[in-house]
Amino acid sequence: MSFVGGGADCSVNGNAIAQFNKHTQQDRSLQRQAANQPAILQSQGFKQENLMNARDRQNLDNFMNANNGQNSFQFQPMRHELNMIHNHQQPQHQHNWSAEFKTHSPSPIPQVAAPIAPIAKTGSPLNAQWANEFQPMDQAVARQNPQQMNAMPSMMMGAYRPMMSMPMMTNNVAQQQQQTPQNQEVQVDWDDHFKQMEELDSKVEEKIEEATADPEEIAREASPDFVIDDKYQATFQEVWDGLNSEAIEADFISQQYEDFKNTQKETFPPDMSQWEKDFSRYVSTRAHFGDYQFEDRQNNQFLDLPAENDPYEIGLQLMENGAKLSEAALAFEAAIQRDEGHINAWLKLGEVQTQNEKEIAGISALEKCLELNPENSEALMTLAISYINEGYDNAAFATLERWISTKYPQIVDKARAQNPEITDEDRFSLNKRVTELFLKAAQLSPSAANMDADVQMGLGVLFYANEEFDKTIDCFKAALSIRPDDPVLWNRLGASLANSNRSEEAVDAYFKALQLKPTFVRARYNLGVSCINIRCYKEAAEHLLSGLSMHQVEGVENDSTLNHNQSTALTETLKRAFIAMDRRDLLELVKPGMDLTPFRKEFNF
Amino acid sequence: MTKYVIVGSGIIGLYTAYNLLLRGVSPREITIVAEHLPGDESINYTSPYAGGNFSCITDDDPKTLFYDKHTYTNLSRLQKELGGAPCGLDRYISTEYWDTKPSKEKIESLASYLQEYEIIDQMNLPMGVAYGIKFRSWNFNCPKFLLNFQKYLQEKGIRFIKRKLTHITQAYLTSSTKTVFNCTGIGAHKLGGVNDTNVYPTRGQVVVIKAPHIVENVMRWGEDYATYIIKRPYSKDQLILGGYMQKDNWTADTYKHETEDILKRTTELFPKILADNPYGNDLKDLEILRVVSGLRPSRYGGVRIEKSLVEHNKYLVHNYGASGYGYQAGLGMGYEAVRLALARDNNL
Repeated sequence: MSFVGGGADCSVNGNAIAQFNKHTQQDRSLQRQAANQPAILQSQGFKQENLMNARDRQNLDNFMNANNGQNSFQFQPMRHELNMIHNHQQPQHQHNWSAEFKTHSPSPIPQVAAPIAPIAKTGSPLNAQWANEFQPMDQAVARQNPQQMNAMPSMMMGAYRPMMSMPMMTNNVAQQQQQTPQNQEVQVDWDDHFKQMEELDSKVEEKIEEATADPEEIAREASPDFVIDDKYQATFQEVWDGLNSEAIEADFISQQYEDFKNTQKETFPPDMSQWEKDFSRYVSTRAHFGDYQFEDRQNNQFLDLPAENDPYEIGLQLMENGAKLSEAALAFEAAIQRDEGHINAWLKLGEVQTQNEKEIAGISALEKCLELNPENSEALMTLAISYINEGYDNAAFATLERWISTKYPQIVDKARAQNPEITDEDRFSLNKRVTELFLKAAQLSPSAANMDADVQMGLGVLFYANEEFDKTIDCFKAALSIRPDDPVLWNRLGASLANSNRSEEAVDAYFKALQLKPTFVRARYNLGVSCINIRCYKEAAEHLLSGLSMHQVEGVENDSTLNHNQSTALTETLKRAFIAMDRRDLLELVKPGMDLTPFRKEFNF
Repeated sequence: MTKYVIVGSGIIGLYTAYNLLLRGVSPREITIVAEHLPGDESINYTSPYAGGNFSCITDDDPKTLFYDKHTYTNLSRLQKELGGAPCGLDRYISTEYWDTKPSKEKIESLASYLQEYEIIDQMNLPMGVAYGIKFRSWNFNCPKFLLNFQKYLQEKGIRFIKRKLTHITQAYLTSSTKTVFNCTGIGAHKLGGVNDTNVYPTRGQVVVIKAPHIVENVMRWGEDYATYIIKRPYSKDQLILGGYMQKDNWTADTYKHETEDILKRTTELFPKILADNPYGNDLKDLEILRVVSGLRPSRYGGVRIEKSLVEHNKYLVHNYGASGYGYQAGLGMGYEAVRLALARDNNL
């Protein structure tokens, strides 16, 4: 399905939105309900895995009960399951896992997806519904004989007193030494201890919760108008207002300057090469990704263009016209295959593939670009961000340092003169070092007029790596104030919101990105992830499938995706959605290069 | 609440826990569950029996080269945090010989980070050796190091639980357990839910002698043999002599003929052992403290570091298969395992 047209395709997504809307509104009530229940470990917005309601706890108890000692493994069904696992290797792991979990606990792990819609619809009888589901399980537990565990629980009991740290440890050691003789004796009620531990923890968590309740957030939850706009064409202004921005620039930049002033250091004799050497060590703190994998000849129509047509120009046009990113990527590949030293083609290929949610391919292309042109600032910034996505944080910091030394050499030279050696190897001090450079650069243009959006972005990325998401969000908003129509920036803002558990605002931002660029596969991927986080699994699957369908190109047979550079992110997350929906039949269909047609019966994309 | 559970308390499990701490994970969220803990001995618990030192035993695929390099360059910080060399981690010069010259990638990689590195002149190489280098290695007193490493982690607040698991799902201790690290080494062969039939033992036997006069390492890698001499730090002058690489041999037994063979090979490789021995210059003058065998947790296909989703929002990260290089590559392996585990969902 090609999105060259633009506006008219909204209807497809309109459906998803409408459904989505309903779910989010209903889910809110659910969240509010959940928030009022005492047995919550952490109230972190919509991350449902942190909700430890009474039902979960029952299942946990059942699970633990069933895992007592070795005797349970004499059971025939168990052996059969184990044999099954032995015979079926990798692809079937998911199925067996569910089976294994079920085998080891008489009642299944709570399937959250299925009950959500019906429960939510009933509104206030919600409690009754939950209570009904709860009852039968309760009886089931009572009927079981909680078998006694080894003496381990006594250790864990000691360990779970949050106030004691060191003393707890010595208790452990002492008990370990005594525990062998106790092993055969059955003195501890595992079940009971676990309940006590949970209660203790939830009480502690509750107190923390109360202390840090954010009145603004509560107010926001209460006003349904804040939910996603029903109309797909949310205007820039509405979304922007919704994201609650004030006069960012003045306050924010001066805050940055304050931060920067606090980080000034004394001067030392200059020694630039040591700095460079140390930093370059960190760029190689990751395995080499390998060379870029080009698609097969027969799958790339741009390879056969007549000589006077420039595939690079065609690639640029394709991107301009909103064609699929996979098509544009093929064009750039063709350009490179004509000229291996085509720096801009490598750059564009890298940018396109990362937006296409093919991170490894993107990284290979960007690294190649930098091999040819080590100071290419766009490549450096995009690459740094890809490293962060993959978790190569140190490499990201080093790359950001290179970026800023190309754009603001005077700042970097001065810093290197002041502090010649990088003796700290840990990521926090590396991050700090580079953050200081960016803060200085930001301070150079304190007014909104000449603020460097890329500096703000780099700064945002540095804060993101340290999980300081509020600062990240401020930085990305600042960048957006300069480049409000940059879909990539909107996506990045969304990702930071998502990581702060502001999933709804994240979704807003992703939709904004998609409005600007419907072919932005990465935004769809992120949307899928956020949907899973707020338990809209069907919508998640639709967004992910939509993204995957954009990897299909004209003229390549079987409606299948291209052979190389497949996006594991999309397929793995799709599997997550199907597991959450408890749809093993769908899970089984998910493979690299799969045909998407079977999914179209059930999902809109 | 225990968010991260590490199964296995060998060097890989401990390195993994340490990497979690380096990433800023709170120690309270980490629990290590293992059948054997430091101080224990069992043929199923390889780590105490390792040599161990940093050597060039490893393959030259990019990932392994990375794990080696990352470990070598980051051990000094760990050593410092454990209180310096007396924790059982010290540095001695190593002389390494290959009967067949290693690949260009391997040589280039080593040359890029080994300290006090020099290539031995062709004419100074023993008969039959194609390539040799000298460098400043890392030496582990494995049993001592394991205990001190565990102590360090416990003092940070990480919990250790002694328990044998029969199925990997048992590691999901509470409902808040999000990720389990499978660092079971040789145990991955039999552990329910893993049952990795690619895992196999590579049996080694070593002879531990008293040798105050040797404070360095000498290693020689042959086609189908490995002869090595490893100084054990802070051990009252112990010297490890080895060894064997016997695929698929599961036995804990030790053999007289192997002991004799080891003594013969090592004293031939490094005559100084006998020549400078204060107790006498014959084989019979060597004071043998112990003979022991261990099972390197090898794997067809090399180490397995992978992440998979096992249930809704519950992940499993495998980190095992390090064969004879767990100590020297494990810090890098742990880095990779933790990177996978902590990978953020959303993409900027």
